[in-house]
Amino acid sequence: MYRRLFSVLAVGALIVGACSSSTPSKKIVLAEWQYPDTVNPYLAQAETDIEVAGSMFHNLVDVTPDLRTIPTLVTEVPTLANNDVKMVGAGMDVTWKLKSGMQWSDGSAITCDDLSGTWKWIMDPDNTGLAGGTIGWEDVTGIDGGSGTTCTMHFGKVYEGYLYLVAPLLPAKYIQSIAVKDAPTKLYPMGDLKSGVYDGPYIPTEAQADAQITTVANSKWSTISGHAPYVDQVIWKYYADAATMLQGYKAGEYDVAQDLNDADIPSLAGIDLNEQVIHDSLTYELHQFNNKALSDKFGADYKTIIKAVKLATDRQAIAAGPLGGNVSVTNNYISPLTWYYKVEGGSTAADPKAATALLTAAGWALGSDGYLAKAGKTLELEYCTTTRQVRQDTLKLVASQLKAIGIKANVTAAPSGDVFGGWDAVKADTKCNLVHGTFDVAEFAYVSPLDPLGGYNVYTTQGIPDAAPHNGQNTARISLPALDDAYNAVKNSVDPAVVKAAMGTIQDIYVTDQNTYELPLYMRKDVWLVKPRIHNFTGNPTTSAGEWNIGDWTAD
Amino acid sequence: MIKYVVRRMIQAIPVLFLITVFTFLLMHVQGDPTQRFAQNARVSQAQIAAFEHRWGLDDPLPIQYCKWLGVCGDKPIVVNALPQALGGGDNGILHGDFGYSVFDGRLVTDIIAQRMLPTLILTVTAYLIWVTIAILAGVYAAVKRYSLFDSGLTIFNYVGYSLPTFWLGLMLITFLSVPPLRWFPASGMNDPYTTPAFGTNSYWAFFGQNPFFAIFDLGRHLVLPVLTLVTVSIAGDSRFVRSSMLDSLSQDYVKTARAKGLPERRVILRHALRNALLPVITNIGLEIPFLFSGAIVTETIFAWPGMGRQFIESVGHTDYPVLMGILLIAAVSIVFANLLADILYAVVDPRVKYD
Repeated sequence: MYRRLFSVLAVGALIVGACSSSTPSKKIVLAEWQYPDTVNPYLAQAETDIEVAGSMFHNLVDVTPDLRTIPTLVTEVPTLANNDVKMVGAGMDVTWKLKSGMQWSDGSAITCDDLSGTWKWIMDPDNTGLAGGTIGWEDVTGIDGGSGTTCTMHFGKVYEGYLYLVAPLLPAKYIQSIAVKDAPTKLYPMGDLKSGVYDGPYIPTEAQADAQITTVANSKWSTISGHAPYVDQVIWKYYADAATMLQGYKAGEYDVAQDLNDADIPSLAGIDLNEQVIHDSLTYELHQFNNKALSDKFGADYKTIIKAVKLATDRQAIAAGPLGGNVSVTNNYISPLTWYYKVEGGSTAADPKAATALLTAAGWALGSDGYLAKAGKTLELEYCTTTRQVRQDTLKLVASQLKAIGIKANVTAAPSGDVFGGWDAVKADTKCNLVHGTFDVAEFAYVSPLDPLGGYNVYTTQGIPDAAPHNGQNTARISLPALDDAYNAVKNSVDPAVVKAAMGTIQDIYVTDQNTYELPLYMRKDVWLVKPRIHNFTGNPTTSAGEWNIGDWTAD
Repeated sequence: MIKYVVRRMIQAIPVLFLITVFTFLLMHVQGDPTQRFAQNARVSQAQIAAFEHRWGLDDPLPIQYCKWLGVCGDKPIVVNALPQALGGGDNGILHGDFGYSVFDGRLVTDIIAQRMLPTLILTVTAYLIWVTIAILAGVYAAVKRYSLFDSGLTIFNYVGYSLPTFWLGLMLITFLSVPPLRWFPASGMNDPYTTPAFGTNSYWAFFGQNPFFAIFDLGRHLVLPVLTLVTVSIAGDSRFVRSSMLDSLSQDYVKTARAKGLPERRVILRHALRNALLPVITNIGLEIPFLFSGAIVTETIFAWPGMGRQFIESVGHTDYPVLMGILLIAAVSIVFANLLADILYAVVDPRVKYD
């Protein structure tokens, strides 16, 4: 009798205890399916790293979802027009006017010393693993301004990409307190994030690896934005994969789902359309043609073959098939949102008859095996991609499309480390490696460059990685004087009119037969799920991710 | 008995040594930690070489193993292997130093310590439940052989045994976490809206102030992962208990007990069950290592931040010091679980003598 009574009382106490817990202050919970490796934006490689860092740090300028550049830590965006960019001999000076009175999370002032400290830290030879390398920073010859807020950045040569170079600003005093060689493990250490110094709206307080990172409103953030963050706590909850993360959303476990893309769209069934935020991404899927490999294989015919393959590849069928109709086919690799985008004509429809006519005219004839051949050589191409299922499905479809016109396409799905491995990181004969050029055609994705100069290393002769130091990204090995000239014009000018005209030329070349380097397939999608209680979420197609304005989010 | 235990512990030393050699080799076949730079074309060979040198990855493999073990060091070999108090070194497994993660530079012991409690909470809870249910169900099924319960248990066991853990976990989430039922949380150890992250200082402070709520919240989060583990684990043990019990029930001493007129309950519990549990103890004892090594699939599906999930993360990062630490714990627990099972066998069955 007493035992039963005690049990009832114990259960009752448990329920009362459970229900009587006080309701905490306003908080929002964001979900990701990968725990970050780092919050240091200069070491961040994965989307999840960039997202969480995006709430803790600020760039000097930000890019809005409609790709306008706006000042964040500065009072104005430096341009030639406002005289904050001046050409000096072969170089240039950029003046960054920091907002006055801004403070880091430890209460210290944000000054030009931080800009200078960031530059020195990046250029330190002991710095390993910088995700973006030192491009642009290498051209900086000095930064003036000291403990003031008007900073002059001296460039030894014209660097068109100066606007997005400082992404983000780091606190000099803090980064100097840790030996640069120890930065990957001791600067903003994942085991003690609280020890770091930040300027973003939310700063970390605690973390449980693989499960949760708790951040709280940065009390000093109002010195930057003029108001405090509207939410007291932002909690990052981590799942093991996108599928369970989506189930967690349906179960009401968090407010915002991140890091989803077009492949996840079919899994969103049952979720209110008003909660689905789906944008065109800046990332586009492409087929890259290795001009050197194809030229070695087919001699003078290689350009005709590439043109025929481009004509025979039915991109509409790819979009409707493996992609489930969730993406749109594109002809241009430049996003229509960029200020230098040029509207180009041209059809995205396939034309296998025209492809056959081209090859027939070049002397290729169908053999008894059903494949085209010339002088005893079969028209056979080695297609490569990563193990991502949708890519494998796409290439399977493309192989069938090419077979219909007599081209034999062999498809290899290689580990992404093999495909994207650097010159020294993989063996020279690793199959499907882009840098070593061990492929004929490769499917992967590029980010459409926001900075016009972003394509310089990808499309100019100088970027061909076969030459030392092998860090070029022109893995198509394309060398077109007209393209080189246009990119050099972009590189050597900060005049928007000149840059826009040169980028127009580059886009003209891209849609003509001169483009033997790539076939754009479709623009990918960025997908977020956002509960109705969250306001001011806009998403952002740039690498700033959806957190670019997290300090302005509100919650019911 | 003491002599036997000492002998078994001495025998365990070469076994553990061979296990560490084998797993160390296996780790290095799997890849090397510099793979993290493979997709970053801007990292130079010099930077990769500097990374390898800092972590001792440029040493020949035997030297790397020797250092990990704590035999090789700055001092002459034999002296370094001795305890520090006797002039030996202070690093390497022999000195209790598991080294540092080559991925994030944290102490391996810190990483394992942080992951051990979540794993123990999950696995011990599941283990106690499934062992209890398996014994009770197995005994009842044997006593009521060919009854409806026995047939039902057999079907449940076959289904449970056949279900892939990841599928069962996802189904449980789909039916019990998402609307319309929404009975239990789908992931994690705590509700981030109401409770600080488990294991953090804030959590323990919160636990001190709201113990009932914290336990209630943790309990809710435990339901689905525990249910998954119990469902897939109960089958083997209950079949084992049933068969052992059937064997026991057919023995002469049970017939004698019945012939003496003892109540059926006493015959089953005192005479049959006690003997039937002997092989069961060995079986259950051998499952103990699972408590420490974690449940990789279940922890992954339910985002449970335990040892199993750490293992997967470390495999992804080719973080071999952490992997070696986890595997060493698993190996030691297997060796000692075997020993424990043998000792318990002797305790329960007076006929068993080891000396």
